[in-house]
Amino acid sequence: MSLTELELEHLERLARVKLTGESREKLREQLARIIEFVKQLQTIDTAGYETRAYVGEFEPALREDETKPCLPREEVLDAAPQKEREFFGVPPVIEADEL
Amino acid sequence: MYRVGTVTVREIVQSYLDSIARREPRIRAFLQVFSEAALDEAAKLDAKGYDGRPLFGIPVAIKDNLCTRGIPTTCASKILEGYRPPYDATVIGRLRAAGAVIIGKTNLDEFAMGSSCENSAFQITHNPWNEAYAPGGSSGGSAASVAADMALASLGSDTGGSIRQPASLCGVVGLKGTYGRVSRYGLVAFASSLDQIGPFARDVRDCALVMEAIAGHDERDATTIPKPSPDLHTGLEKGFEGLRVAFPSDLGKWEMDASVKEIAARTVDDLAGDSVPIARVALPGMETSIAAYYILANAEASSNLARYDGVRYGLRSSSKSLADMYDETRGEGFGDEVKRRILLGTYVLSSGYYDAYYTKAQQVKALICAQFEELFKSSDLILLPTSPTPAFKLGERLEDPIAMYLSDIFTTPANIAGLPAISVPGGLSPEGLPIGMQLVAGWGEEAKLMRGAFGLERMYRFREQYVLGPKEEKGHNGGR
Amino acid sequence: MAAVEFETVIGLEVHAQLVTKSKAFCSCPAVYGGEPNTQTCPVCLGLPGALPVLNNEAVSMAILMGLATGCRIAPRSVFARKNYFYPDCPKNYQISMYDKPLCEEGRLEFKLDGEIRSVSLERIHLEEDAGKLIHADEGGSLVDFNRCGVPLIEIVSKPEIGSPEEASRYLIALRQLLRYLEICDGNMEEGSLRCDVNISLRRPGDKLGTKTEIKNLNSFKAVEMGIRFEIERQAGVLRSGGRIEQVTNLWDSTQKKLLTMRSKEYAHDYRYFPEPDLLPLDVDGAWIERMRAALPELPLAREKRFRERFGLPAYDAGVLCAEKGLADYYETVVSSGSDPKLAANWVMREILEETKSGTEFEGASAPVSAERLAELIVLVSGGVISNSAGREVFKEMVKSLDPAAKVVERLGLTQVSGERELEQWVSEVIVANPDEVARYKGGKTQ
Ligand SMILES: [Mg+2]
Ligand SMILES: [Zn+2]
Repeated sequence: MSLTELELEHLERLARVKLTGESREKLREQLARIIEFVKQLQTIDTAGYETRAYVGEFEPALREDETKPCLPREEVLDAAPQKEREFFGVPPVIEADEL
Repeated sequence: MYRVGTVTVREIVQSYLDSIARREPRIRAFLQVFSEAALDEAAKLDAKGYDGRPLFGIPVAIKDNLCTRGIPTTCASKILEGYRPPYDATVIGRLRAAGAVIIGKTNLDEFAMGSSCENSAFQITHNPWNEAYAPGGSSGGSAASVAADMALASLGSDTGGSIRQPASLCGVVGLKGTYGRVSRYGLVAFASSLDQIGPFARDVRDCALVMEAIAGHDERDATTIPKPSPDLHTGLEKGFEGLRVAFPSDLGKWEMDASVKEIAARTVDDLAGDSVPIARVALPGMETSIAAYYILANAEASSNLARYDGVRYGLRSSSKSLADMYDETRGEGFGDEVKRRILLGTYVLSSGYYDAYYTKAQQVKALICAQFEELFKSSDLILLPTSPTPAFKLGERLEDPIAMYLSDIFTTPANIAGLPAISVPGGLSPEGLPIGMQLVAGWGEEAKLMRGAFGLERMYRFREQYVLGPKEEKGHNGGR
Repeated sequence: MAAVEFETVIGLEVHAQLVTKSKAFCSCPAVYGGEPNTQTCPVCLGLPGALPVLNNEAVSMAILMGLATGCRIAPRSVFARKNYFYPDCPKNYQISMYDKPLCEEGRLEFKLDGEIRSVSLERIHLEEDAGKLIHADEGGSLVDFNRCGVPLIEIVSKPEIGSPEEASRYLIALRQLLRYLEICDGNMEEGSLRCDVNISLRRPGDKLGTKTEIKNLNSFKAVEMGIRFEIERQAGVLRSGGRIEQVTNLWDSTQKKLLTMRSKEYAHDYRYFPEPDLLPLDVDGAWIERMRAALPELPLAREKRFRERFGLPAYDAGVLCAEKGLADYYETVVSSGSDPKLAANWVMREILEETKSGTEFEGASAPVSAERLAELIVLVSGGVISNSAGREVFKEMVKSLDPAAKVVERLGLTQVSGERELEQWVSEVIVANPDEVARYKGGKTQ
């Protein structure tokens, strides 16, 4: 199989990863092969099996509603690539336009 | 692990630092070595004196996907270069509580994605048995550090074989416990439903001791087993006594190195010779586990790695718009293998493909679990090779991801079913590269697993027979 | 009557913040209003390696809401990850519930034009809140993660609402219920209660039309206005032969208009899958029964009781039961010896006038305590003072914080001599109502 340009662009946008240069073509080709490879699973007969997400049997592990100290703000913001006063800064988030 | 009283902790730590100074320039197992901090810690332990803690003074290396407070934790990725977590992983606290000295952080495939350690953004680690070869992965640095005597034990993480495969390729013991046995709190997630932290050590007993120190319920990880974890070192000498072994009847179907086949066959013969009951069985998941694994693991990975976006920490591209910031930060920050997996994971979860891939893989998971449950009704341990080949040459499989993926064929079933499994060095290939054999036990049956592993170790006498490394190093590494 | 040109089909998705002490999956405080970025930890910041652990109180509160709306509580529900990139969402996925929600198939009942309306609920599920984005003037945006991880319940109605007024009534009733259950403070200004709406139009007899979504409808007025705008817009498109596109609009509350959400650079496919960091949530019968026992009398039942027991007109019962605190206050006035109908008048007139709020009433902060109001009413109903004098006394009581008898005495409004005597008279009247007093002393107002 192959991965069309449209499909690859859609994946890039969903995953928010931009592929560039030669590696984009290489990745497209490899990705197509891997998808083809994992597709073999569809031939396996799994009739009668529910999907399974968890293994083992557990007691429910819940937390009591108690508060604990938070991280100091300096530590929270320490690693931020862009700090703006007491906030994290990001490029402008434009949510909406005129109808 | 060693006899206390004859040496000081400082001497031990120093001897490992010396070993690092000699071997590390060529092996490149470490991303960081904490020479000073380790010696300081050693001095403190000496001042206190031996207090009976199980890992008192033991120099341990840590895979660099385990969070260490205030100390860079990179996952061998550019996207986390320089990132210092504000907290310690649970296992780090447990190692320290057991008296261990953390000596450094080891190299890995970026975000633990790979089987050769070549996907590190920072360096390539070499196999201590032959530097032209890969150490395996993703915990290649941790395996190599123990193999080259640069740490007495180390921690890795195993999502599809990332502890057992490099253990096999580097000639050390590597253990992955039952899913939920060791807390994942502070382990940078690759595939949350499969990831488990586990130890590497030179022998089964050391491996058991480290596992005992890190295992057990953690209120910060809701998926840890809320039961006391078993004693793994008492009664190891019983070996296979009373244990029934299953061996795959159709092993010949898979492409394998002749030397691996030969060691597997010899192991079966020797066990039979020791009157260990061996049943020939069809191994669950052999046809399906790799494909199911790549779907499930990467689906989760695509979500787990979404947080690396340049907002709160790590790399950020200098983009003007928000969408560009995401796309470019992640495009520049992740290596090709990581991108490939994120895209695959995104693909199998996206609408239109979800059922055919993700849902199907979950059904296959149910099938594999059921088959294992059935198998363990009449057997205690499954014996099989860890990896179909000994170490491969560096660069050899880089251009062929599927060939690389297939090297996990014997290890992924245990991850999918959440079962404990261990690799024990069994012998050398004609080229002088180690070959490990693997045992898999039923859910929660680490004690049986370790007994069997000890039985294999006693049978193989690997460390007594084989000496690692370049000739001039023999004196140092021989039978400590 | 002219034939209806279009039928409106509306569904509401309401997010309600739960008033737990700590967040949904970590131990940071869930309270509103802290200094920016001071209420976070590795878990709610989505730092590498951190893992969520579920707050059991959040589950209890969600179950309570499920029971109050007649939902089926799932013995096993499953958390899922909803994947999307947004700077207020640190993990770039939200922990929510998808195909196995905690509560399913309930209904919310409320009064509309004097009739009881029942709107079916599709589901109520638990999820985590996002952080807050602040749009800075300098051309960038700022993020505060304090709110991130605060527990939410999302209450999803079926598309059974037919008009903007009905939508707003539905939301008022939902808020009332949440406040009765004491699981959400219902403060729409602070964002503890938020509303998204789905709207479609169809010509009578046609199948359902394409729906559009409006987000950010954060007041009752906005709900009505936003829906009305969108109905007009869709009707205009349909009349001119156009097709409705499946868009998401945003209500701009300052400009009072609809904006359209940007979608081109974002692909919308949430790729839900079971959250591997959390085990399935098992709720056993004992837990459900415990929550059932904790259910208070619900608004409509209370209104009915007020009508039947106290002989109140429907309107009065509705006003008094709007808030649990107000209904409790009213019942205390009655149980302290006041005639129920007079009590209703006094509470609705003087007390609500004074507090200027029927939507957030706390008995403890009432201008005059229920017991003292009862004393005043007794003085009026006993003919000791006139009704208009009573209102004067009330004003003075609010100012001086003195009991009614003392104020009456001071203003010289009575024929009875001496404060002592007046007090005694009041207490005798009150004791003559042993039934109500006993109920009051038992501490139960139900
Ligand atoms: Mg929601
Ligand atoms: Zn937190």
